[in-house]
Amino acid sequence: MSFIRGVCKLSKNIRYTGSTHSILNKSGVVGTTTTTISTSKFNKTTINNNNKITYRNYGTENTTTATIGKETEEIKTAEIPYQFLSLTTEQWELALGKELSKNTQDFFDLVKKGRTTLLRKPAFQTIQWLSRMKDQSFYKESPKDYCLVLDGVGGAGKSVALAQAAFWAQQQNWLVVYIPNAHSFINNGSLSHFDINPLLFAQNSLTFNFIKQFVEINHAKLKQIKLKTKFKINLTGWESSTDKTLYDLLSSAKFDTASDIFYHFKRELNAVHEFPVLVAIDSYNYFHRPSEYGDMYDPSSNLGSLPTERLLAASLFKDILSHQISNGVVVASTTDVVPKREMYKVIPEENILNVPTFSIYELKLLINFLVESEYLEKSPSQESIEYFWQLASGNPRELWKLLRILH
Amino acid sequence: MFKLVLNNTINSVASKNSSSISNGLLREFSKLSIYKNNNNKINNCKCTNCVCNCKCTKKITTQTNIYSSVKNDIIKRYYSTPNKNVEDSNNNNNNNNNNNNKEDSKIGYATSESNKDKMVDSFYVNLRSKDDYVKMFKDESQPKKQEKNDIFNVRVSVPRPEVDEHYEHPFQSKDLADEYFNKNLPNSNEEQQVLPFSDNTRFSPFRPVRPRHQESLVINGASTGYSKRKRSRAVATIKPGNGELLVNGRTILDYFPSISYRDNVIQPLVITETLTKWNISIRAFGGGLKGQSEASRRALGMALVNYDLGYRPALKISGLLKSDGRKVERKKPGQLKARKKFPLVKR
Repeated sequence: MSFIRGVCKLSKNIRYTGSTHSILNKSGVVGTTTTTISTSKFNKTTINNNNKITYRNYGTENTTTATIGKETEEIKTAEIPYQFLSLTTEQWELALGKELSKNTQDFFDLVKKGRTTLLRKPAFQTIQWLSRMKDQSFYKESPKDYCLVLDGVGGAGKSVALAQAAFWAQQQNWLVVYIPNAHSFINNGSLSHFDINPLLFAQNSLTFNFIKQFVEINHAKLKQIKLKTKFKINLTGWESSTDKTLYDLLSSAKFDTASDIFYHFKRELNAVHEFPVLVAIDSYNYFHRPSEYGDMYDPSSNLGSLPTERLLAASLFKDILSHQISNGVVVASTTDVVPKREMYKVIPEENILNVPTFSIYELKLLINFLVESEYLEKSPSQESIEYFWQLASGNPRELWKLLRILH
Repeated sequence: MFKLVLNNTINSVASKNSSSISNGLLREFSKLSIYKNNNNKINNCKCTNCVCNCKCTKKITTQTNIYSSVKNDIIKRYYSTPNKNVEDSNNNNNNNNNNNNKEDSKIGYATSESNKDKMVDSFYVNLRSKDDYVKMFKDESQPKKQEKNDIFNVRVSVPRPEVDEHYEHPFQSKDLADEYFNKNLPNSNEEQQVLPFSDNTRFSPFRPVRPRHQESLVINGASTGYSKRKRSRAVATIKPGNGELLVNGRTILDYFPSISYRDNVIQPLVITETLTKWNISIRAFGGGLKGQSEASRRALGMALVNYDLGYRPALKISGLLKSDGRKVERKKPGQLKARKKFPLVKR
């Protein structure tokens, strides 16, 4: 928790350039004169603390104006501040957990220098949306206010933007439930009978591991949240009361009672009012595909017929359009591995946010970073950068591959 | 008109050839374009003042003389003209050496024995071990290796977004070659001025077959090209833009998975140095992927030529406007394939 608190202090002290600046001012600092002109172009700003986070600013000039005693005005010319969010692996794991999808981990392993990501426009848009929902105190008028889905071509940086938004929420003292890979969240471990709802299958091994990792990250916040619902767990005889906290519930989890506790944990999550809640789901496509489980006695099913609604953990997080989290919101991202057509039928276009491919300017920033981290010896010339960009049609994953092969 | 165009473009192409031409070999291209630029700027120039690519003949002088190790105050005394006022003012600090000054100025600094010992001592203090001599010898004989920090052009200098041409910089007409020609030869593509008298009566033995007035193939700012290869055909349409490239409505990455096919399509853009200057959409159909990629290559080249004739010589020299008329040879009756015969059987 000491880490998270430190980061929270940090984030308030940092003056972001551009759009985030206005976000931070809305929530925190009001009634101060800030006439800052960020003349630091292409400067490396390092903030030395117990937890080191470095932001390299590649942003443009921004002039922010504010008046005394009034709310800060939004910046009219919202220019994109390009920054690298560079974290160590420990910081990442403390904030977001140890799991990662394979595609993103491979690129982190290649550079071998922490986990640095480029902050881009969709990440800022999600953060802006989240802060707007918080100002609205999560009052949901339309289906647009329930969730937001990041969509785009394969390798465009959807899951990176999601992780950045989740990290931002963790900094701002939200309670974040981060599911890094929905495939492993659905198809993991063996199934068993579930007493509370016999139509569902309990997933003890999955929920037990999930709860263990979740408590490791968020134990300090969970101690502040008190239980609101009344229930009793039959196997152990554990009863809820107003004195007990959510930490007591989750820490009492054993292998056999894990799925029961997970069910009640979701019901408690709906009623949390101490912290704003964010549920971040990566590769959300998988929820709308049949799971890999099937009927053992029906060979025609070929073990791929059981819908995700029948699984306990998946059924609780599947409905993102009509979820019951009173003080929270859901952000999801898709994958290119599995087709998305079933998802498009359910989720309207208003909730979908497109993640674009790289522009040439962003490519230059990436190459500059790769040279700095000594992954590339030399940078390619200006002409070959254009050539790579045209050859890959701006797709970051393909650009990375080209740089590995050709350069 | 056409000669002028040729001269200008050939000059430009010749300069471009050295920097970037991909003759289908990607790896060579990348090596060419990258290492040339950097190697030009890394010289063995040793001088500290200038870093650039200059013909400077200065060299760093290492400390080889004995006198260089002596302090500067003493050297001044030795070489300077004997102005007593100046000397006294300089040497007030060192009262111990004042006695020997008068003799030294006349005869020389090294002759006096007391100074000799000092100089020898100071020489041996700096050079005690044998390795120091080896270092000195190496410094004189061999040039120093450049460290990593000294190579200044290692990374791309990311320009500011205000200056950068790709950062929200709309396509402008001056990016094309048109403006140069229009400035120097306005309305050159139009018909000649009509003479005041009727020209029909005159005898005109050398009447050109093709009329001077050539209709432009650019319609609404877009031009097209068409070509065939094997069984596949392709039509390319071009418009000045920001580098979109679509094949049958899909991105080029999506349509051609392998790098060599994608490289085929882009080659005319590399040679004309107009990467990321067009919005291109290609319609390719029939045959396989290789045929489609090579058909779309020539179609794109033809579209460029139709847009502006200035691109023609560069494309023609590099051989991208060649039409490949080869088709699969038909199977013959009485044979196994086109050329292959049935195995010979006796009787």
